[in-house]
Amino acid sequence: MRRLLLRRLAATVPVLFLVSILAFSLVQLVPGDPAVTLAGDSPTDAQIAAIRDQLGLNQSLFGQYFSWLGSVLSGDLGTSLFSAQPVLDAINQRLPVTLYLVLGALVTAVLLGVPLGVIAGAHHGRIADRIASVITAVALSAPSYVVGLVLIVFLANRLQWFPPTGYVDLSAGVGEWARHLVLPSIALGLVPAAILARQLRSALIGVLAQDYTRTATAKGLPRRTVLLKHALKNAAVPGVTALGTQMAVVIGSTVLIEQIFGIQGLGALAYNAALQQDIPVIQGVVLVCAVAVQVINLGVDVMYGWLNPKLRAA
Amino acid sequence: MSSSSIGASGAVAPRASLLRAVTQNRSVRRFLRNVPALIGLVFLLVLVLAAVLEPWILPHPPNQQDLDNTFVAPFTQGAHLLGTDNLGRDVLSRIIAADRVALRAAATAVTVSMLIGIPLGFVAAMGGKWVDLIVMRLTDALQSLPPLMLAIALLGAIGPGLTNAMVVIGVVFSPAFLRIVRAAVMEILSETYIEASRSIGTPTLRLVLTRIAPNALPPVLVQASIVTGMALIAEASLSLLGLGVAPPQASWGLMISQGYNFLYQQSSLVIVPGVVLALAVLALNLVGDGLRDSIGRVSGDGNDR
Repeated sequence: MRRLLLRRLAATVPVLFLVSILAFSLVQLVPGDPAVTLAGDSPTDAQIAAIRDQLGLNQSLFGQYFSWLGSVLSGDLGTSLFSAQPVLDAINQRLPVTLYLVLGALVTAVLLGVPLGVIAGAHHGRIADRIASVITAVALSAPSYVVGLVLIVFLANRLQWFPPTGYVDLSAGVGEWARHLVLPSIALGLVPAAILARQLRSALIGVLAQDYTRTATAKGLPRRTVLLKHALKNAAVPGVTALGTQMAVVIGSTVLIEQIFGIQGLGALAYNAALQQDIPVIQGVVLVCAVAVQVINLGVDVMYGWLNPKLRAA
Repeated sequence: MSSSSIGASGAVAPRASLLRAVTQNRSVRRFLRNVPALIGLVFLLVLVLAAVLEPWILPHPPNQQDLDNTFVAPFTQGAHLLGTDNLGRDVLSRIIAADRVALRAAATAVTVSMLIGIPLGFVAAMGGKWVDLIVMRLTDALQSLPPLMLAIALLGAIGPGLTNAMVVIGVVFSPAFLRIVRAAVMEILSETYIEASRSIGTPTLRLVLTRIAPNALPPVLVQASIVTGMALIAEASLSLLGLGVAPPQASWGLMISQGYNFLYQQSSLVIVPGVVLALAVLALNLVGDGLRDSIGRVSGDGNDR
């Protein structure tokens, strides 16, 4: 297992290297002379020169990349072109909120997706399966922000169960903190829940048709035990994979959800940076997201080993 | 098109039997029996027709303001079936105008996606070990970022606008086509008929165009319908964020973001475009599921059919 993890950890290096080239190239994608464009409306020569200097645009392309990579690896992600705040500080400030949102989405996905998938898989072809498939099809088609707005209208505005927008820090009390996270988490978690349910359903149908589940049933175990202890654990592998992919997608969706719910997280940081062409901030967020996705993938690998001992040896 | 049966019987037969060949094709018959997929297809046809006929069917000019008639609720006035917005603009007209924008944008994005993904999929599958390795590592890197985050980062660099947004979305979704074409081509390459065709000296290009491409097409079609749905959501998302369609032009995403300011006053301004968008995506997903179930050897259940 440890060997597997080390090998997977090593495999993240080339991916992160390529992502770093992509993030670096964002400056080159800016139309025209990046320094002039990024300096804003009617810049002075001094402003342009300052930006050229800040982004290291005076060096050769290779020199630019390696000096940029060098400072990134030493923990210096540059400073914002607008607020002059170090990018790393801005990210550190925003990261926790977004992490809570992604975790909230994960909790939503598991709480809704697992029962839905198990019910559909265990009642394959019957009415419960049909209803579950309609629910998942609808959930898959509703964009997260539409769900978010509908939740605000009904659960926050009409019923007043939850605050419509905003975020309060954990220090203000766990209850208030959680109440503010519920609606955005549901909005973010609905699509992952539907995808998890679909994966679990088809995997369960496959597992329930196998010999060892028949053996377990034949030796007199109650159906509940067969389903939840024997079948579900083995059927969970594709579901865990799908959840991993979905959590990466959710990190992107936070851009929209944070906007709608008025939350200042990583998504809002990326969005404002994109509006202002604040390239250093965009680069920083891209890198942090890439690392986050790799961490999620490693988590998925650990789950594999736990769920299926056969994969541990691999 | 559904190649095998037409190629065998339809090529020499008159037109009527071509139609019969299509309707008797096993995949087409299976698809026609799939009620949800058919409903999806009908809804899509309505959206396409509305987009094509837009100039003739608009009840009002989509940007015409009527400040005496703002915030009309849906289904209360015959003249404004879906109501009016904060400027008194007819919501139905804007939905139809935005339909045209959305379909054109999604078509652009999917075309860009296919133009990048399909050739690279062939190259990866047929170009040898090292080419494959390089292409797939690049694909991994592109897919190791959250799609929306990548799109926003690229748009932040090259600047906003609908065309830029759709090209970016095309790039972001291209790995979906690349992977599926690569897998399909690799599987086809191991078939006996390819070996047979090669051994009688068919040139590689001809082999690709006449033997491999037609057989790799079905999974691409399924993927295209699913990616079109994702592109619709992406266009709306980016327009909602102000990085896509610019006002006063209508877009479902833009309508949602403008309605957001009046969420408590008239929530239908958000819910109507939201529901239309969701229905369009649902229709594409249903058609995609239906296509997969009818042409795939393995159905969505995981059971052979």
